[in-house]
Amino acid sequence: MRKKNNIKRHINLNLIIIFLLIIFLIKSDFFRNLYFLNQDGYTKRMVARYGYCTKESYGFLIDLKKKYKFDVNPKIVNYDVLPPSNWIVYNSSQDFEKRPRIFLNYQKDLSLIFNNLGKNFKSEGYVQYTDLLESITFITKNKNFYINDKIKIYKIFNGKKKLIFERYVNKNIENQKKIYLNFKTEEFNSRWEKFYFELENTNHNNKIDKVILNFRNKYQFSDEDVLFSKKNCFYIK
Amino acid sequence: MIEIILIFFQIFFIGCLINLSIPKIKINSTFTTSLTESLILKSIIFINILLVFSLLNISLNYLIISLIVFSLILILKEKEKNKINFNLKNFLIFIYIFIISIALTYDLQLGWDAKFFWFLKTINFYQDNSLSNLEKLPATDYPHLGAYIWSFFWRFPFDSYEYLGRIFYVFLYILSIFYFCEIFKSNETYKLILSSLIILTTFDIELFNGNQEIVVFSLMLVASKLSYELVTRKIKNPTIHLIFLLLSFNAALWVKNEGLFLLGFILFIILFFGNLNLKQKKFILLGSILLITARFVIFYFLNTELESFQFEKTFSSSFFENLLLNLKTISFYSIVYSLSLPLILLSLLTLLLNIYLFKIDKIQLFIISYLILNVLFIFAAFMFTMEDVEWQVKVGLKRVMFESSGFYLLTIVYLFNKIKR
Repeated sequence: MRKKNNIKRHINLNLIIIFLLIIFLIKSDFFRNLYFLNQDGYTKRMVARYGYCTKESYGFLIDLKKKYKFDVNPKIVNYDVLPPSNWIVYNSSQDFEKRPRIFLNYQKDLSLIFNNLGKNFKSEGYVQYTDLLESITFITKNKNFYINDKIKIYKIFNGKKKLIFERYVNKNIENQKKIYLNFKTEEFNSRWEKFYFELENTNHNNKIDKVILNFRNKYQFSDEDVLFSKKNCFYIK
Repeated sequence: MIEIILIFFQIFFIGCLINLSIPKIKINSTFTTSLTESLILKSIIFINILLVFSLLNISLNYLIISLIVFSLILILKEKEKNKINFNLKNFLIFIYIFIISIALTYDLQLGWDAKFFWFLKTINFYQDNSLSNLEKLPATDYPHLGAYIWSFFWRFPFDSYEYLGRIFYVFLYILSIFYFCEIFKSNETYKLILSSLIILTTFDIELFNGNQEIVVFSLMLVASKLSYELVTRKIKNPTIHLIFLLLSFNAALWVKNEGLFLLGFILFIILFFGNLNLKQKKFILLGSILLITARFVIFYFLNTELESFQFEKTFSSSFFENLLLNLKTISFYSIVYSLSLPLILLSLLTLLLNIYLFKIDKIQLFIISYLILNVLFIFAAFMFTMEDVEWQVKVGLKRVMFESSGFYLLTIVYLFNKIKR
């Protein structure tokens, strides 16, 4: 009788193990993984994961590597906030090229949008590879208004405000009209930092919906310079 | 289908190579009893052998030839046949490794740091380039052993997909959990249930994305088990335990920088709480000093720069101005991440329960001491970072906490074994 109970208990415990294994199979999506692993080849899965000319642009870089023989590891510039895509084409026996020739997710015009928080404006998204703040555009709520005020842009680093731009503006503000600043700076290049836009006189804040900063792209090239391209991905001379 | 077959054989290759190329290990004058114990301890030796080969800049081809020759000698020398018991435990170990390998093969995701430097280091070794060649890559202050192992199993036996190299991480992770669960005073079936539960709570496909935290986590589990045995039992001849503790420590030193502290603390507190005589304590102390010195001397000659920590920048006037704010930020995220890491949450709750239920004894003090040192390390490490502290804490703290989380499972072991008694 005791032996029988022991066997019964043992079976129950083994059932728990099987039950846990089934949960794990479900948690890890085992059957779906197995099915798609059988369906999709390695390159297809890599392109699905890292994009053709999106994200790290795996497909574009692999095509490029097939088409051109690199003597040095190309310097790759990706306009999306992602780790460098060098790992896709890296050759450890070669040095790195100094001048960037591959541009992924290239954006000709760079801009940073600031949303109204009431007392100030907070940036949304990020800007990379700029060296000049070209202009500022106000998206007003309904009518034009006059600013005779200081505008300030700062970022918060380690809990402290760091002023990166300040200018006195004495202008009539029209909806979507550019105010040219031409301020040389690389301070706006950022991968995670948020920026804050402030008007000294906060009374104007309720008249503004959004503020847009327009930047010049540090890397500019013409169509003749392009050797190979797909959508927003370029390989230049 | 080919990829599935490759995975299947890759797992067998890893298991066979490690099992056959390392001689049988004796613990307390008897050979290791379970395949799990034998494999995990041999893996620790294997990792250290790979480290030596990488430091000597010996080509991967010579390494595999040496290992195969050594395996053949051992097979011929050992009269006893290398039999593998196909019991439920070994079957479960294989199944778990296979399931996770399939998930990582389908997922193919590499982590941010993996894409930024770990994988580049791996490619360097895969393409048979030397350790000094890593100089041109980012993060020169990060050690290379994890990447070296990755490149080795990427190259051998199939030389096809990079993810085959990462299957070793899965192998180490699963084995370390099953090995750890051998300290529970219960029958085999309960241990299997507990192992399965730990896998269920800790598994996340992101752990195998090429970042090295999973290797440190696995080494931590091995070191935790060995140290727990040294604290709770009076082992007749603890030398093998001490050697494996030092080997795990050495492996962790060369996998990630924080390994120095996370496993180093175990070695440090074992001096106070382990059942060791003076000679054995001296062995641990001198052994660790030697390993740490070797690590720093080699890094010095490799011209590595401490990129991630810039003390001159940290110790500016703003460091003291932001001290309180940074402390607050680290404390806040520590609590948040403790809640999101089930292993830490469960273990800390069990620790409180243990303190409430039982008298604080040597084992509890051992665990609490580690906790204190670990917390101090986390605060110090993130205060002295060169980046914005909040950003660094957001992206890095959870991973560092995960690495040491295996140690706190000892609180559950303590409770379980007390109740069983």
